[in-house]
Amino acid sequence: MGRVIGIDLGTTNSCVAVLEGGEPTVIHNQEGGRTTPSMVSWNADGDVVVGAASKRQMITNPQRTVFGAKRLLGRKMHDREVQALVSRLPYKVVSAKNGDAWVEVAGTPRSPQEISAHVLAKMKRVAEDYLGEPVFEAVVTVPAYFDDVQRQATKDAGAIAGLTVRAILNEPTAAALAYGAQHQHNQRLAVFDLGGGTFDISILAIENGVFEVLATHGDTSLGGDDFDRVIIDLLADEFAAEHGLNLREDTVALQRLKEAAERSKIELSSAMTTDVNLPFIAAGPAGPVHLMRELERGQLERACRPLIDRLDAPCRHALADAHCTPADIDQVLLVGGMSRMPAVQERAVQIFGKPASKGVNPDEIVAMGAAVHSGIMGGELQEVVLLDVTPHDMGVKVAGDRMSVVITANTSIPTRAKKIFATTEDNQTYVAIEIYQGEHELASRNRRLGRFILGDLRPAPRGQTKVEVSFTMDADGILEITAAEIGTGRAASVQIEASSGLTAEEIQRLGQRLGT
Amino acid sequence: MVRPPAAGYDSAVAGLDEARARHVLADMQERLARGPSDALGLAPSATPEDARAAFLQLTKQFHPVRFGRMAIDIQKLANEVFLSLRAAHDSVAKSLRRQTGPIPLAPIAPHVPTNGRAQVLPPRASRSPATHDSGERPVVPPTPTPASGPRPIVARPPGPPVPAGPAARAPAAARPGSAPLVTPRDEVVVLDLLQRQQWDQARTVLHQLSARDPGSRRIRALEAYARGREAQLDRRLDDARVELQDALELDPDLQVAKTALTELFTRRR
Repeated sequence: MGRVIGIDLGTTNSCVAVLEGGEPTVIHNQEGGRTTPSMVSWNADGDVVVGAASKRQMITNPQRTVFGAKRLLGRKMHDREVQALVSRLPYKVVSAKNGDAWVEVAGTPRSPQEISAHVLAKMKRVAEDYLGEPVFEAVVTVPAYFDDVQRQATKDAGAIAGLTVRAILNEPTAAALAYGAQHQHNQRLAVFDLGGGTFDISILAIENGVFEVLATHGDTSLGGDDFDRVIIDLLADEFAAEHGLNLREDTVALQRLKEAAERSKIELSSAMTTDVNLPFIAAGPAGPVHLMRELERGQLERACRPLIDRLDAPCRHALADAHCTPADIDQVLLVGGMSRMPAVQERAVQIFGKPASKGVNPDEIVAMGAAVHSGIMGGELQEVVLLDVTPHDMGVKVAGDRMSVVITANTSIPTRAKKIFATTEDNQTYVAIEIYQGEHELASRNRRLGRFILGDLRPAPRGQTKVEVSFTMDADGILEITAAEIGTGRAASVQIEASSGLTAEEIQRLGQRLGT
Repeated sequence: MVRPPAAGYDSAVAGLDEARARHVLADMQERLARGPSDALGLAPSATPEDARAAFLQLTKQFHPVRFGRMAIDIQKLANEVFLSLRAAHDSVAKSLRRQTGPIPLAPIAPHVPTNGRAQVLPPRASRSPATHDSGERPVVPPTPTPASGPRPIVARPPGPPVPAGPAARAPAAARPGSAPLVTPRDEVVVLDLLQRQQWDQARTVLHQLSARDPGSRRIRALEAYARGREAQLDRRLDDARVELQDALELDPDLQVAKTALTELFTRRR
């Protein structure tokens, strides 16, 4: 059997690791980087460029360079998060036939799965070059707060890239695995993961080698991109006030602003001031206009305050769900590049009342955890195992658009829960049930996973035919439904109508196109 | 994505260990069929801690991830076996708690919360496996509607008669030389901690009070109430009912327990 590699498929950067001699090792890419930008460009001649090479083209080729595809993965065009994103992206987001958010590159609509597949295929090649053997299997990480659709989309991206995704692992849990593999004594961990696009907080207990997630919360639309955008807005608004020119209308200028914003954000994590220097950013009536100014850490922190405030609620919810107080937490792990920002670290200290663990590389620890998990699967690591939870309520839409929850959030998985349904009409031979995921009491405000139809029911007066519906969630957080008619024990047929994602044929076709 | 039962990726990689995996899983299924204690390999004298330790050990061996690279039918079987193992642990733990009665409260060092804000939120959801809901929901195509019929309240056989009135719960007059007995003020402290869901601190205080006055039914009632309340907010409703009824049996005048029980029965769907 070949190796299973661990991939952290990030919003901005991705990282790959393998287990060697029981230890996770991060692999350098061909350019020498330990992480690879999650960016894909389509050149005019049809070539696809991935990673650092793509990032270099961002300014010259903005409409054909896609970054942050993870934020669109498994989402609908009409989602509020997608709508908020669309106006700020230099590339065009379009709606697929089923309403999924896709990206149009040079007139060709492409699914976020396909774009992510290019990144995964690159990580696969990086690992193959290092190992000197072909790789077919991977553990891929996702934000803990990803829902079922987003997880499935990630698996599909893997399939297009020629990888069988053997496990979908939550990013904060992966970080805890990598940390805990070296610090195996019994303890409680809080993993505070602020990445490029998402924020996750997980509380875990390590007990005799069993890593048990007690609770998970998060915000799927809070990350480094949002911090960059605050800086872009600050600079663009100021520029507009001073020169009367709107930089956001010019994609090249916007791209340069974005790059400058990211760079100054990173610099302000260590320095107190930084220079933003963008000569010839726009053309005014009196010739070229330059953007040159100094940015102070204090200015950045004031502008980002509303974003930092959004970190509090998920942490408090997670602690409450885990029945923990901050004093019960032994270690706080900071994960994700954004956790380098001093103001973010201060907030974590404020929430948990203790400084964060040192010696954790926030960019690499998630991929290392994925590699550890591959070792658990392969049997190299016998004394470690993980019990994770489902992050969202899962239920059925009932009258009045209410949500009838079958599996509650933060239930340890795998799990199974059952509910009984009865017919409401005489001689009814089928019932249709819509499944939703999310915490809102109104089903329509949650994520619709699909509809299934129970057929072949015995004709009988209403209310007399009863069907027991069973929801089984596997260790990857993927749902399966079975149903049986009560009394006869006969399995009712379950037919699921998926409302998003790619079909098996599309995945195969895209896979062939990628040459995998 | 929601997928039909038969779907899933096919395992192309048929490992050498598959035959052995099938054997190990079938073996555990047999043990499970003999009962939860057999499955967990527990002696009759086992404690809830033993049950937990056994479950964790078996989790390392039987977690579905261990079978994640094998044929799809083995993965499904492993999932079933693990679900049964968890159910076995839960049922053993529950019956052990019943047998031993109230779990002796371990002394826990009271900790000073460094950030009070974290504790005021109510727990949002239960971590225990979802309970089997037998409430029937007639289905209107295309959307099902929940039945709103009242759920029958299962009566518990009446406990030994408990004399009502203050005499029943008033602690005996202070014995000379003993530590001061429990005062209404102590109760207020406990109830306040419980209201703020600071279970550990409440347990600590109750433990200290019970050490001061081991015979007090009132304190035992409060302990039962505390366990019941925690279970209730944790949505372990059956456990909550047992504990809260125990609390009322110990002290029929414990108003908070009456309120909680009423809430339990009215909110139960």
